[in-house]
Amino acid sequence: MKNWRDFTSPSTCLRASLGYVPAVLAIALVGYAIIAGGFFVSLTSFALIYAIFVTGLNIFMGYAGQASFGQNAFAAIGGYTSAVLTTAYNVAPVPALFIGVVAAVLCAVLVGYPTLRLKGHYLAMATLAIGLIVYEITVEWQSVTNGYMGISGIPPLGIGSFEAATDREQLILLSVLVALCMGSAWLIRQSRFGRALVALSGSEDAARALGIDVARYKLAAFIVSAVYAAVAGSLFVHIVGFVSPEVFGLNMVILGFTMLYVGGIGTITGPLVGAIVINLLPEMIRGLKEYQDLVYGAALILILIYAPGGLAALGWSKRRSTSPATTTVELRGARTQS
Amino acid sequence: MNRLRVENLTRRFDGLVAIDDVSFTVPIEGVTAVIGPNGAGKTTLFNMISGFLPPSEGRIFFEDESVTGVAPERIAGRGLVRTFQLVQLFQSLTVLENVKVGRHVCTRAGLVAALTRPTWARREENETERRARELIDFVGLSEQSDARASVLPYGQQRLLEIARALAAEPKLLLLDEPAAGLNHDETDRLSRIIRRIGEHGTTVLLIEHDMKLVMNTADRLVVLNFGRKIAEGTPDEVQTNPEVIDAYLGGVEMLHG
Repeated sequence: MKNWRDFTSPSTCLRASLGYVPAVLAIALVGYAIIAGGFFVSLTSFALIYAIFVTGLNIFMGYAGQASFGQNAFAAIGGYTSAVLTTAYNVAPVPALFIGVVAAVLCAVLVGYPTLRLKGHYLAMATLAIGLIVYEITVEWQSVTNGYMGISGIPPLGIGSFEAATDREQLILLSVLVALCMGSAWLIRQSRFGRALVALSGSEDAARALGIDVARYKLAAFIVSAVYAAVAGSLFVHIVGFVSPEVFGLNMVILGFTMLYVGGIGTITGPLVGAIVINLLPEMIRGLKEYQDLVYGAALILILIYAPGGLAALGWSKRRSTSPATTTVELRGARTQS
Repeated sequence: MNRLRVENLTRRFDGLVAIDDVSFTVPIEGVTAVIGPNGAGKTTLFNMISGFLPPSEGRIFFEDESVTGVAPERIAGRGLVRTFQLVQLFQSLTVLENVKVGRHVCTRAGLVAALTRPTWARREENETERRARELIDFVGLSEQSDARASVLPYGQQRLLEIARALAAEPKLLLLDEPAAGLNHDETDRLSRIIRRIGEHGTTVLLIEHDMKLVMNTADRLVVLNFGRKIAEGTPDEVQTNPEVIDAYLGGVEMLHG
């Protein structure tokens, strides 16, 4: 493995282009789903919503190197705000989405301010608690959330008189939104703000010694990731037309983490690649029946062994700049960079 | 006016007194070095000056303003920037990006500017790039500018850390054992670089073990032993000070210098 990576001459070019293969395939698949329609569409829609969620997670975990197990809380806030406002109060989807985002930002500030002083495991535990608390609220606050029964009849996304009612329209709309989200993540990574995040994930002391207010930047990254999560949550309830507490349960966090690591933590296209692979993989091996879970698990392990930086980092070589972060966060400790 | 003034600085760790009533000043011009045997309290002193460790007693003045108990990032914002004894690079960033991070206190683009990219922010980013490349050139790492910091050999990592600190345009640069782990040639090169930094209007305060580097580079020395200041002066004065020779085990280390 090491030797193969260290080759420089003709394989360099090949290797560099290898990095784009997963991203190009992912985009091609979305294009195919738009054209072909049918069963693929809903699958791809979910993948795209998750791509937005994971893009936010990537800014907090991949760039800033912090661990959050509570991102589902922000998705729930976005999702439930949209659901309640559009069904009970006749608010249009777009303003409802914005209100949901604002609510998630407020929650992120309230929660992030005290907890981001915690490090490593403590931060992870604190964020996990937030996810559980919001889940409990969605279950118990029955007058608003309707408890386990959930809220149905949520209208599809639309602006003014235009409504993205058909599957295909929704998929196109989602594709545009994913492109915007990934584009803004890229802009962030290239900026002074993004560099400061990657810097503090590398060494908090060095970042502080260079004048970076580490606590403030962590909080900012947490807020940005909450915005992405809230947008994803809101989109989800509009696409499905229904929301219940289980939708934003802990499984959302686990799926998000899996997508982030399989796709490539710290990379730009990783969240999209990861979201599509993790959404499609179970469908592709459905025919294997009782062996399905086994093959799914084995596939994940193989990906993480042969693409330790994630699929989007396959073509990454040591001399390239948009490489995944390798330091901090115990979660990443086990990964080796050959 | 002095660049830095330390008054009766004391730091205790439980029963241990790491720094004991130390006072000295660092003038604006030239290179000042803090020397002393292992465990003399040099790094503790640096950690207090740079704000990473609050002093138990005493005060620190940067350009006649108290920075005692001020957070490291604020001290850096005022123009006092440090490096670390164990190099602390941003390993997953490239050489160029590391130095760009150093420009943080001299720039102001935030999240909104990152997303909307107004003209001033693009201009600022271009300037950041230009200054970063200049500094990489200054320390002789131009060919490595797109390499990840983690792949550099140790000596180059040291130089990169210095370039990154210089990017902040510090008035006072604190170097914590910059020659540790460097070979002969690298130390010579470092010595020249430090001299040039001092000549370009940046005050340099360094901690050093390597006597050759200190004697070639520093204009003034402050000598610590067991947390106390035992001598202060030019390299020649200090070298002949009996207490200093005694502290260095009969001057063995000094003679090697």
